[in-house]
Amino acid sequence: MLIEVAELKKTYVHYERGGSFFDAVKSIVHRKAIRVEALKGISFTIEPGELVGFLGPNGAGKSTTIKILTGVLYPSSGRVQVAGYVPWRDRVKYVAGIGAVFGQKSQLIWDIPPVDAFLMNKAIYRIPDKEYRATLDLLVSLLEVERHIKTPTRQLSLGERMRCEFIMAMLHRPQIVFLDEPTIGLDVVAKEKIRSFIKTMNEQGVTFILTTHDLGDVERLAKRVILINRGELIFDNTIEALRGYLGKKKFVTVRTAKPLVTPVFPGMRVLNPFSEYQMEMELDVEAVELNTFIHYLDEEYGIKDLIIEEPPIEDILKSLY
Amino acid sequence: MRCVLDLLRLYGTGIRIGVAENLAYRGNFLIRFFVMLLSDLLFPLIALLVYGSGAAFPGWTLEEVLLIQGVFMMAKGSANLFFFGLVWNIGEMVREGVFDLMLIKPCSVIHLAAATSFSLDNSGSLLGGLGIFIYAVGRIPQPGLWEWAAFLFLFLFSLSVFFSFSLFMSGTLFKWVGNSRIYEIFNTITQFGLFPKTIYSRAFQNLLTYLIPVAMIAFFPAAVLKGEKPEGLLLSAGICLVFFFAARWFWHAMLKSYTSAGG
Repeated sequence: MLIEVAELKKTYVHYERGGSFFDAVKSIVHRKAIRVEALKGISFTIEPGELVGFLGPNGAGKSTTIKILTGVLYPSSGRVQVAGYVPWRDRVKYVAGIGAVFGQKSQLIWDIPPVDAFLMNKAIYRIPDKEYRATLDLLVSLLEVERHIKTPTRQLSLGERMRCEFIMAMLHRPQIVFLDEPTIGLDVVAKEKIRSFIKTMNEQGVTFILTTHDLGDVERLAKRVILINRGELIFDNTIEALRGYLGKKKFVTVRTAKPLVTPVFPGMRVLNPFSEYQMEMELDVEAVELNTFIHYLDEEYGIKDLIIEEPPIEDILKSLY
Repeated sequence: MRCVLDLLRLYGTGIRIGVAENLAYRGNFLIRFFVMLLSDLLFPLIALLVYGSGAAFPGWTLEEVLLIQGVFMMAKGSANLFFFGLVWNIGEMVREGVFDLMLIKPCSVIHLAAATSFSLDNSGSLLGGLGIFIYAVGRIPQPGLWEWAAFLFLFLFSLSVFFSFSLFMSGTLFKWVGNSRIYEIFNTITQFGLFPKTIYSRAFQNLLTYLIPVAMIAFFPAAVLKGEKPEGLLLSAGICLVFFFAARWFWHAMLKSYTSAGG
């Protein structure tokens, strides 16, 4: 077991202040303390080589969990062991073996090219010259940033910068990488490059813990999903199990030769009647077999085009949050 | 030994990157260089005005006062150049929520924050101080080898006072984020070190020697260079060490109250 989290709790104290002038003056001598339970005793384990999607709405406790796992924050109580270390207690030794990419916090240096900033990590992680050169060449070619690493960071696009962030985080060849919103704000091409890189590194045995709101990242990369809401773990299983959470459903979009007079079929529900000849329907495959339903549609209306999809993960998450 | 080499390598890389960063905007660099140089020349100019008008600090010649001020500027310039920027570095990172990135690096956060705060702009201060120091040393009785050795040794203590101050100041920023006036408090306290401590009242001298060792910044190093054995030197050196370890303890204690930023 690579990561073991048991009964992890974290309570923050915030100070509340009203908006009036009187409240502002009063806050100089007295502030009302508010205790916020960010984590209410979550437990989970992660095996080496897994790629786990860590999901939850804003303020659910995802970032707090990641910050505790990376040794940035002390928990209020609970037990955490990552690769044999207690992150906040053995911080210096522990973080030598992990990497992190925070989509909204850059490790690069704004005014100088990424290749110069990489040297800082070379010194910090004490990477020998030969190993540094080899790793840098590999990462640069995988992420296709040969032309960009010598350009000042401020002149790079967000996608180019993010790819360089990955190099910064992986130069020391970490075995565990924490990703917090790694594709935020990126276009589809840049997202695809990053996802393909994560997949390649995961195939080479690197464990990834991916926190994101982009369900495309989760669907394309994660085999397992952990859902957190209001500081509690509400789901921990495979992505297939998540899809089956609302029952076994399929979304069927069909275009037919004959006009679609609203079909009545057990386990079927019309979602979007696009036109007389085209319709989107939801089918409960536990109530009716997909084959039977398709056969019925073809017999009755003559199928010209057919799309069968899994239910969108967004719908499942909405019902869970 | 390996640890020291790793630390030197870290500082070396920090300096290299700091120079590259500073020189990215040459105009800004040159302006800041001269502003630093000129602003630090204010106190030597005041000393010149005082002595030029026929007045004096009792028991001190103009050259001896300039020697103290030169040592002060050299120490402050070196601190600003090599490590004092960690106060702003940490303050900015804590406020913007990027201090997390320092905590996920396998090295001392203090050293990392100091190494990444190298600021070439502050070399103006150091060079100005060096100029005044050379001028003053040329006009006092020539120090012997022993005096130079003692001076260099105490200069390290002088730097340690600045380092301790930087730890106390940056430590407070973990809890009181955005404490922007902290530098003014530090500046006011340390400026008493620009003048011979003997011009102050006895009680205040004791405060500057045995409680907050400001006298170690310039007065004691300059005094030994003149061949004197000033009263309270050894005890003040001991206080510097206590001050340093207290600052280190305080910094780590305050780090525990770091809560990161939402996200």
